[in-house]
Amino acid sequence: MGEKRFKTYLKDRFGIVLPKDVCFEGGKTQRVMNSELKEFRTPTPKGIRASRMKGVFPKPTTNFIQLFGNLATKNTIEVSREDALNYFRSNDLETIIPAELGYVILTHNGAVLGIGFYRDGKIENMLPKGRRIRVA
Amino acid sequence: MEKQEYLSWLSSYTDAEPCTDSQTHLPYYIRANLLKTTPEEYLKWTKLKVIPTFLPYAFRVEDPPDSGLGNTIDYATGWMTTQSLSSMLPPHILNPMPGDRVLDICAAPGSKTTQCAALMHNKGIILANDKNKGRISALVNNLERLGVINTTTMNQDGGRFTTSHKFNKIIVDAPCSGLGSNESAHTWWDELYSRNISALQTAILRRAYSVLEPGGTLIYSTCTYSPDENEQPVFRILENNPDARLEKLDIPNSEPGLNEFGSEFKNAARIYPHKFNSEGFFVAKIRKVD
Repeated sequence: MGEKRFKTYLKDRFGIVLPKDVCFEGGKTQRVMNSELKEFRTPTPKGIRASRMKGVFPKPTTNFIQLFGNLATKNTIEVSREDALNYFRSNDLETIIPAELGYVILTHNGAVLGIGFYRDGKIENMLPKGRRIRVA
Repeated sequence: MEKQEYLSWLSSYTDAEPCTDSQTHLPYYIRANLLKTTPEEYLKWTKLKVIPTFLPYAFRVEDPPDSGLGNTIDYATGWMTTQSLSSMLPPHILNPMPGDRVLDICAAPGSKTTQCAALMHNKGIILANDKNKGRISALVNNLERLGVINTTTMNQDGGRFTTSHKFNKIIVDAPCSGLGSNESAHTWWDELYSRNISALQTAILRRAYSVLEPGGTLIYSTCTYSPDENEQPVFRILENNPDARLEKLDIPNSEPGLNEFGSEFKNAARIYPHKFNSEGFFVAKIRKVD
């Protein structure tokens, strides 16, 4: 999947239009970086992982969505603080807010939490294991 | 070194006796991540009890949760990260701007790299290097969690660092004995250790200075008190590079560098916990004049 296809997916699914100086590199796994870094000659990985293919659809990474999810205009779900904590404990969530089948962006009070998979009122938790927190 | 002997040695460098025990009671500090929020927005949003500091994006935390600051929503969203106030000084003094080309030559685990990226609003370029491959994983995790997209990482020995690139701003946060940050470091530390590691610090500083553009700025820092690890490597650079100048720092509650290395060392800063209320540090700002 190339940069163009991923940008189209972000726009179609979430209404995200990225700033012009945000660029990508990679194949099945896309990395996001600024345009100056893209031009920088180095053999080392640039920027951060932005997406990987899951089935036929690209799955944006939690880190990418936490950075750019605030640009989304659709398929975002605002959750309570309790559900935000539940999300970071890696639990699935339930919602009465309607959404399209597929990936949704979860937010709480202006902060982007990450991504989940919405189906029939349930949000499957997509948080990487390494990002879980222990909250009393 | 026995504690009394160590304290006696230390008191020869500062007018009060920095109690090593005080390091166990130092406050917790956090930094609002300017790539995701603003200090004003963060203050309204967070449930943590935080007190402003002289840096607009840095806060002291009162009564941190028992589960630790790393187990908060603030940390998980990447809206904040934990970092000592002293450790925020090198990027604050370097003052990287959008469009700058920055080298962080001993970068892991990345607190200063990510602070630079935040000050640069993810514009420009940062090359974050570290000798230790294992610690680069921690650096990459922090870059990802905090949303840094202007940085690439490199795994080279800082003392032998080579690159075809030049940088206008450089941080050398050198490996050190850690007397300012590790309360038990004095139990194994002696002056011979400092003299040995001083050679490595000087080598790293030389390599870094060699890739600094004319007119550029280099910040040298450690979290220790030993002159062999602080003033000495900087002295070597000034001695061997006629275009190197020590620029004056303005850090509240700090002390000047040691005069015995030359009057210009009044421009460097020594940070002591009993005065600054954060870990012990040394910072010097070197400019390569055109």
